[in-house]
Amino acid sequence: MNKKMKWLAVAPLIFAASSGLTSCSDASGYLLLRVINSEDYIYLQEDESEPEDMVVQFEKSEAVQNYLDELATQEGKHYKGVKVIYDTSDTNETLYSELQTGKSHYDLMNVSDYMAQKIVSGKMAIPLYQNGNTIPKYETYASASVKGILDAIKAPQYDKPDIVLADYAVGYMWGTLGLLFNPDYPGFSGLEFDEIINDMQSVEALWNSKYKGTISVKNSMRDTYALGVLYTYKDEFAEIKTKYENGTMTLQQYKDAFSDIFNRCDEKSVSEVKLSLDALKENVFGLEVDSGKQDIITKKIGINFAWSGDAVYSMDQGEDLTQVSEEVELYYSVPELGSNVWMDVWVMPDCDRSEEQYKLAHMFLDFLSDPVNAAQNMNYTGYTSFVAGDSILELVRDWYDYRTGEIYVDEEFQVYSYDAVSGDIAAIDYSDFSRDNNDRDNELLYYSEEELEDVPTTVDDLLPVMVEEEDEEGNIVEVHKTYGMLSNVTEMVAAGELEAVDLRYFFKDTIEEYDLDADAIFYSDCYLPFTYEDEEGVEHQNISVGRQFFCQYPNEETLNRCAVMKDYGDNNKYVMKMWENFKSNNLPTWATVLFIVIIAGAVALISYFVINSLMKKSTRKKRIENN
Amino acid sequence: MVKKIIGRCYIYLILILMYLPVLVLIAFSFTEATNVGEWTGFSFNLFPRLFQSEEIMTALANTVIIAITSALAATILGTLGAIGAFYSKKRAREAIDLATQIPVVNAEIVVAFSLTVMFVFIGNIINVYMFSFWTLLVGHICLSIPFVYTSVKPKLQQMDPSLYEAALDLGASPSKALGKVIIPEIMPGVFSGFLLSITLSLDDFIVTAFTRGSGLLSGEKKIETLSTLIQAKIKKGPIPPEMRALTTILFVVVILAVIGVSIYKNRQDKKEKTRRAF
Amino acid sequence: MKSNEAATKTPKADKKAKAKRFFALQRKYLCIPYIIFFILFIFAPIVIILFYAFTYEVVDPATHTAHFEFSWQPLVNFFTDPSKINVLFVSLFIATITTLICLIIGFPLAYFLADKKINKNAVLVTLFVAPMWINFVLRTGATRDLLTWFGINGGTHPYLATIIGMVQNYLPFVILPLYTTMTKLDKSQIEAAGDLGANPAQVMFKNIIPQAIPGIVSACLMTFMPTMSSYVISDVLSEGKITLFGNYIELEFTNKAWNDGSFMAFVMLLFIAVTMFISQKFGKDDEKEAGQW
Repeated sequence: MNKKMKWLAVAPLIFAASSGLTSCSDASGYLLLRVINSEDYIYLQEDESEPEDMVVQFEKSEAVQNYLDELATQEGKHYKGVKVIYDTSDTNETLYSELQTGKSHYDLMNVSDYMAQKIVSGKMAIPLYQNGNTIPKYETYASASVKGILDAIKAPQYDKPDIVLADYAVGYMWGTLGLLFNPDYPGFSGLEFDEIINDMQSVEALWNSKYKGTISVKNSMRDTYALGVLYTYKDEFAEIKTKYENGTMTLQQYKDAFSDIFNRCDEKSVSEVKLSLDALKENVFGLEVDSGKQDIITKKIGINFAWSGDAVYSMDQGEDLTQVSEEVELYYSVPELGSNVWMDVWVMPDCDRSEEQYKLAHMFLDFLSDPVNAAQNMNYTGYTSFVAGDSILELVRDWYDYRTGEIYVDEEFQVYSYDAVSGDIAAIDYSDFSRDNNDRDNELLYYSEEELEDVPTTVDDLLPVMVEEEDEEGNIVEVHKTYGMLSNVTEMVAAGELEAVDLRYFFKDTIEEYDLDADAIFYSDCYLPFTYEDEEGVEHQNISVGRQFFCQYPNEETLNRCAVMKDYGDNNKYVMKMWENFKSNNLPTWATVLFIVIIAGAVALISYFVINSLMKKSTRKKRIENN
Repeated sequence: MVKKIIGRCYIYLILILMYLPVLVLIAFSFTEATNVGEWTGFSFNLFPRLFQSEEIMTALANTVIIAITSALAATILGTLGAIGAFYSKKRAREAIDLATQIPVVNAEIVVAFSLTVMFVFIGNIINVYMFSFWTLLVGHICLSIPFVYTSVKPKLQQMDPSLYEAALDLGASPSKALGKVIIPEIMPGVFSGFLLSITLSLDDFIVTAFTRGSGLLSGEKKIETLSTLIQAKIKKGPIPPEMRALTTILFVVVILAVIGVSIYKNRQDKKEKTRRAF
Repeated sequence: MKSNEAATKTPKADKKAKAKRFFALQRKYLCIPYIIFFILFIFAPIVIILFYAFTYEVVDPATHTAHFEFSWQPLVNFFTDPSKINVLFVSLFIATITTLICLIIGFPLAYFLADKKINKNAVLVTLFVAPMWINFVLRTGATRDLLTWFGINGGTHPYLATIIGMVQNYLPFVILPLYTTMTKLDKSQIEAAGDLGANPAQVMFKNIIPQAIPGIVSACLMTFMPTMSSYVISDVLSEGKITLFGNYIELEFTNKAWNDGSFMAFVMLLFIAVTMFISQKFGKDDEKEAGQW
């Protein structure tokens, strides 16, 4: 009896612990929003001093509170608050199969462009922007350049051929596919830095036996297939690129032609690509699911075919000396002949959902599209947000602009400008960031590390600080300094030390406080311009390799030679079959031989025993007969 | 003599080789480097970090809860099954024996795949989302139930049938006789079946990955057990440093258990000897 | 017949017999939950797998609704798709090699462990099984990290790394059944063979091995099938380069090719049937004890 009672007590506990996802508001009276995203794809608090998780910020946001108050005035709609059920998944395919089999119930799902297309085409998602719901911040701040790419994607349903994906999907992050590589990789010894950089401008490098066993590619059907396409049709890509550069093709024509070739997936093309990939498989180190970004830092591999966001992660980690014992300087290239631009978008699966949840989902998307929040997410994930706007511009500046390092303004390190004529000094703040460079020439800048008792008015009020400088022998030494001079970035660009990166195309129409023409051009050493000669001996300058900045914000030209890889549609079966073939390898010759030997040995052994025992039996029989 | 030395060397060599990966992890649980093979100075920091890691602690608690509940359920069902089968007609018993063999030899992936397909199949028919703690529990019971059966069965066969008769003769009701005579007799088998179920459940990855839904301490998220968590982590890179500390703790627990068992066995043996001496 | 017999006995005995019979019924019924569980969660899924393995999804172009039709397509797909056949061979190969290596390592080990002169300590045997209590995914990860440290990794030696991982993981499964048979070896027979002038090799091949056959068979079965169908070890240790049956079924599952996946599971079930047949034939006594640890 006693035991029974115990069981009765435990049973409801287990029951409570295992409650499912099926209800729209749980028993405790919260309004639920069910979201599934990729792992590490949203800001999370790492320690107490930081702001709270992005979803918690949303739950507590003013907009949500206002909405709840508004709802509370209605009968029976009194919620204690909003709860975001935040789940993560590893691949698009898992999500899709769960969606298809009814294994999941979410209000918002983060998927890649092609998967969104597939979900919408398969009528598994419902349109956004209904019943007067809008996402104003997305409309205002999403960069027109990437939004334009998303808008161009169609998701035809069998009875409605004109469905546009943008009606169902809201952009979140975007990026390119490219080669992440480590020029100092021990396996590349004997290769010059320039040679490696040159090779990495093209995907052909991955097929080059020079780099055998140093490459890892994604264990993902689409990305690896895209790589195969880029290699297999390299001549055609080169041809249209020349045409475009000659002016015989307009930009739009070039883009369309590129997209056409890039999206080939009919049976014939698939079999052609398969041949390339079989050769690739011999040359690579391995197929990785998500370990490539780590493996390149640990020097397990030298080249990784990577998503731009992962490349940023690896570069940051490689330079973080708390993570690695020796700094690893990585580079990223978007193949010169073109590559893939990908987007991760939010879609709303078709499942049971209340009016309130529908609205709440829009509010969540709006919240994520706020440049301030987008900046926080970018800062955490390393991926590039769809959203532009002031906060993002400031973020890009802080991260990559050369000038930031010189006049970085924060609490303990104040910079002052010095007027040589009057002898006055004045504190410089953020608004002085991109003043006309020529003005700077004559300015001396004073540093002060410690907080001064009085507001300094003359140079003498400033305290000297320790600054690292190079001495004549090139050693880094620390010297006391009270002033320095701001660099002239224009001159540095001319000297080839910096690159002026024009991101006006991205920030267009989204910035308010800043001036597009002056502020959306950044000066950075994160881009690596490369000069090369073509077959006719003409020199070209090309930017297709760079570091973090280039990964996150490729220039317009680079983006122009990137296309979206659409859903394969009915051709999916060919690609899938090809992929299964690619994944399952033939037994290597040595293994086949060994296998045959073992089988033969086993057969011989068994037959020996069988014959032996038969012989014994027969001799015994004979003996018995003889007796 | 030579044979003795060779034999011992061989035993210890293989033992060390088997434990090598674990031992290396343990050695590196006292340094904070990301990768095994890099030593960045001696430190105990990984241990507090382990206990602060909500992710790992949740997974650990989930794992334990699932292991215990599934083992309990499997033990009860399996023991009852074994008793029932033992007193059934020969044909029925043989049929049950044979059926029990199926999940014993069945591949885990097939169990996981077939269960999941079935849950989806049923879910589609009745239009309900099936995956939750319960599906996971069923998956784990499927793994361990035949082993309970096979460990209880020999104990039933060894049992002296007259004991039960004697209990009945002495006036015990059949259910009392069952509880007071049969169950204590087969208890060692039940217990080893229970332990085995726990082991199987703790170790399982595939069935968990396929059949889990949301619930337990993961709340509304998908249930994360140690296996699925570690698998997700090692897909991306080396074993997380905190996991090395966890390995050390698990190892110590296992070693203590082994020592405990051997002490218990020694005592048991001694008792046996003294009993025989009398 | 029996009830007639009982009726002819004295009233007291009759009562007792009645109670006994009644309870005999009761005790028999104890296994009903077990049987129900088996039918629901062991057999029903297998039936559904069989259903999927011999049907194919047909989409009606007019209504865009899908339904299943009986078809040999999954079977045809399995035997005509080189990738699946490759997976089959690679799995068989890895499983064979793993089993063989495990036997080669495990056989002398079990022999030494069982020899009282060499090993007096029963704890050692437990120690060989103890790694099983440390999470298996964790152990696999540890093996991978260690091998990477040594320079053997999935990138450069996928087969070697995978086989090392498999042996590492399945060795205890070999040691246990072998150890159990070894402890039961007929010592006097071995000594007699030695006394009669057989050399050690002859003793080994003519005496010990034949005596240990049940143990060897059950050790093989405990290694072969799990290796073939393993998922984590091959995935983690070969850096995704080696696809075994288990990995492929998982791939088919995520790709939503359930019919093909089910057929592969069905093939696996056939292998399992063969396994069961062999274990029924050879390893009768041993199976139980292997299950007992």
